[in-house]
Amino acid sequence: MKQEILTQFPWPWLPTLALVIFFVFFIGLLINVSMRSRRPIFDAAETLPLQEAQKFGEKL
Amino acid sequence: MSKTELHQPMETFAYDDEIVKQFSLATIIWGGVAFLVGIICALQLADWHLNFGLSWLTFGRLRPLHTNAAIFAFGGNAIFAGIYYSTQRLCKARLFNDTLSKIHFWGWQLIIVSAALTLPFGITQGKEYAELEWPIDIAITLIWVVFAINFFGTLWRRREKHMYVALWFYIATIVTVAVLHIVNSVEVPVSWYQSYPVYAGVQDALVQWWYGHNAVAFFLTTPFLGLMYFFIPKAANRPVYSYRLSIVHFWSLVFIYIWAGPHHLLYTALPEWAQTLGMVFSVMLWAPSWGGMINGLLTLRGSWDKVRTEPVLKFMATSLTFYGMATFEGPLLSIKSVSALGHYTDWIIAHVHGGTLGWNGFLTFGMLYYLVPALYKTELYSKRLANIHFWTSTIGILLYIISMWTSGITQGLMLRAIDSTGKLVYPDFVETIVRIAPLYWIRAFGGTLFLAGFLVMCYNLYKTWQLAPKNQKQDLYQAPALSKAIPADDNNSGPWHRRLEGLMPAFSILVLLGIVLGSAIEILPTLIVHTYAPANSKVAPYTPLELAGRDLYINEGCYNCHSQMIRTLPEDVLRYGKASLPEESMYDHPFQWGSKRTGPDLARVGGKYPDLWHYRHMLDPRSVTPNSIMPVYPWLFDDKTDFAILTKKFSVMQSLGVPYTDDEVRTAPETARAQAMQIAQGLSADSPIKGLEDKKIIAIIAYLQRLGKNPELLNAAEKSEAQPAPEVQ
Ligand code: HEC
Repeated sequence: MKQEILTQFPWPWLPTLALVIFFVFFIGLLINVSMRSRRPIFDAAETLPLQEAQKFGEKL
Repeated sequence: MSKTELHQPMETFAYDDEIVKQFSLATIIWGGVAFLVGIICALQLADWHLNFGLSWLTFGRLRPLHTNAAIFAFGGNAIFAGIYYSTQRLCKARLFNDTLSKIHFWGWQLIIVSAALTLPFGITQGKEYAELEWPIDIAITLIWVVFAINFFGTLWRRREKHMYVALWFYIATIVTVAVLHIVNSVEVPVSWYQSYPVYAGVQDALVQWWYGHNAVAFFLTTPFLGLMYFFIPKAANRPVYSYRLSIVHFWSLVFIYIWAGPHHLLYTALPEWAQTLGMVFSVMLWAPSWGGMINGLLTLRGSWDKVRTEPVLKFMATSLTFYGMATFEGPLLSIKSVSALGHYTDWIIAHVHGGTLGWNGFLTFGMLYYLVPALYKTELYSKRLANIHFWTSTIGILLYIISMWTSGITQGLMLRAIDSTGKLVYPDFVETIVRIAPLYWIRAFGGTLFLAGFLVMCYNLYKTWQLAPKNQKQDLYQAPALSKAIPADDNNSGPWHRRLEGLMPAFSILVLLGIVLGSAIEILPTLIVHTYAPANSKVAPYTPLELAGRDLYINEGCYNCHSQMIRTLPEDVLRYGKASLPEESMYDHPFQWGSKRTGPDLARVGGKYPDLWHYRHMLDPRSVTPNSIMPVYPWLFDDKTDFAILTKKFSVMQSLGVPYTDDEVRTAPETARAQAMQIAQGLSADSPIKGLEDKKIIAIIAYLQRLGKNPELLNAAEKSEAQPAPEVQ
């Protein structure tokens, strides 16, 4: 039966393609986030939930 | 604050917190309903009497109501409350449009109410978590678009340049849920309350579980992770452990999750490569999931004392632990040999409840303990009560999952036990039920504890609300407007991601690409190949009466307890017969492979018993199978089959590619009546049973007797090749 189905779906290489696409993407991502120039951006971004907009009437 | 921002004029605004309050209240109300219905379902499995013979209270109809209420009513309202609260803060902007917010709120509640008014009455499409019929499907689409406009409009008007990682998770949620819902809901209406999906058999199975698993991923995971990335830092008052990790977490989770669906279909008639694909990506999912969990937990480093005393953090830290547990178990269960044991058993039920009660439930409770005091500018009424809630519910969850692990593994092992002569040790399915039945009581007790804890929270939040100072004025805030242009000083610092993060449309499109790519590779091959059945196979479509019976099977929710998919495993083949072939379900719109075997598989039940057996079994299962926990179906013996509508049903099926001739379509009602008369006469020949020919029970019997009986197909298969030996574990 397996053989029968495979002849109807002749794409056994698809999982391999999927993995290749993923890993290319993933390694690119790792390189990207570990770039030194990104540090200040992360430092700024990570505090966002802790900042509140300034209440009206309060001094800067 | 950057130089550019200082040049912008200051703007004054207020947050729309009314809508957050409304969604929070709805979360609480529907949470209560979802948990209560869950307990009723649990009790019915422990004692079959507990539907009181009422059709709308039977397990098959109530279970979809429970899952939909838990996911879309409780979970849905919770994420809308959390997303609207956090998005406004992260964007320093009021929600895009108050009217859209109101339409979103009331529209969603209306959808929930219509679910509650249709599912118990058997109005269902029979696709798990997508049961709602087509008019409601359209309403869901419209309301989701309203939500999307409101959300993206807020992002568009934001006064904070950077989009914090929580917002990315929300974007992924909105984009992906839209794609999932639309693709999985392509259906052709038969009447106002019935439709057939365009997909059938293998295709429907693949699309459905692509949808089903990603409903878990993009409705119960990504939005909650976004909430986690906002509320845990907020409550702990410290930034997330690693922002860098959160980026890796986001992209790998979104990219990998979309492929995982086929792990629901291991050892089935789904093509082998698609199964492998699903399994590999599911195992890979373990990494980003744990990355996210660790990121959340390590955010609490140095605040562990607060976790002990602060209810918000206590619930959130525990929810992350449950998330870690569920996302360890998920990949484990996706491994084919583990799936062989756990699939169709209560192990899966334990797994999903670790996720929903532990992860989604506790995160939501933590969020509510944060939101209610914050929104009403007061303190939580009682930390002691929150503690009681925490412990009652935690013990409840543990009792639930431990009893269901035990039940699932016990039953799985019993069902596969084969003695030295190659025979099943427990050939009667019901033997396994007798063994696990006591555990169903423990599960029901665990669920009740969970609900009790929840009620304590309701009281606590009510008292908190009462403490709120009266006549509160709305707070006004100020922030500089955001210049839409990318400032010059940013360009050289700018790796692409920095700019991408500021560019909401580009970012959303990238997410869309990521999920569409995965979905396309997985689904398209199966969809393109219309002739997935071997060319020489001749599958006869259902007769009109069998189709009527099949639709009743769906209405009654029999698929919630019965599978129709014999896996290529020795224990399945020995117990139920030859493994299911893909072409056997090629005309099943929707497929009926099922996902849980509370009762035995029915794929080849046709001809196993005489009609009279089925007659007695449906009237009182225990009269033929002592100790059965199957419900009674007395109304099927009174209610009449709708013969007239069969013409319409046949013509819709014909338009979907089922090879009915025009003649067959036209004469469907008469053909059905003739077959019904034959079955009814057969029944009355051996017994005093009279006058059944127009009753629903006859249609159900016709359908059951047909399952696995496709004479031409079986002959063809036997001639072409002998069944290969089932794979041995
Ligand atoms: C609460 C779960 C549950 C629901 C819902 C349910 N069943 Fe069952 N069913 C069982 C259990 C458990 C058994 C095994 C014990 C027995 O034979 O009654 C069973 C057995 C059967 C059998 C006999 C199978 C065999 O091989 O012996 C048939 C046929 C059947 N069910 C049909 C149906 C139909 C049709 C519906 C919907 C109208 C339905 N069941 C709904 C639990 C359920």
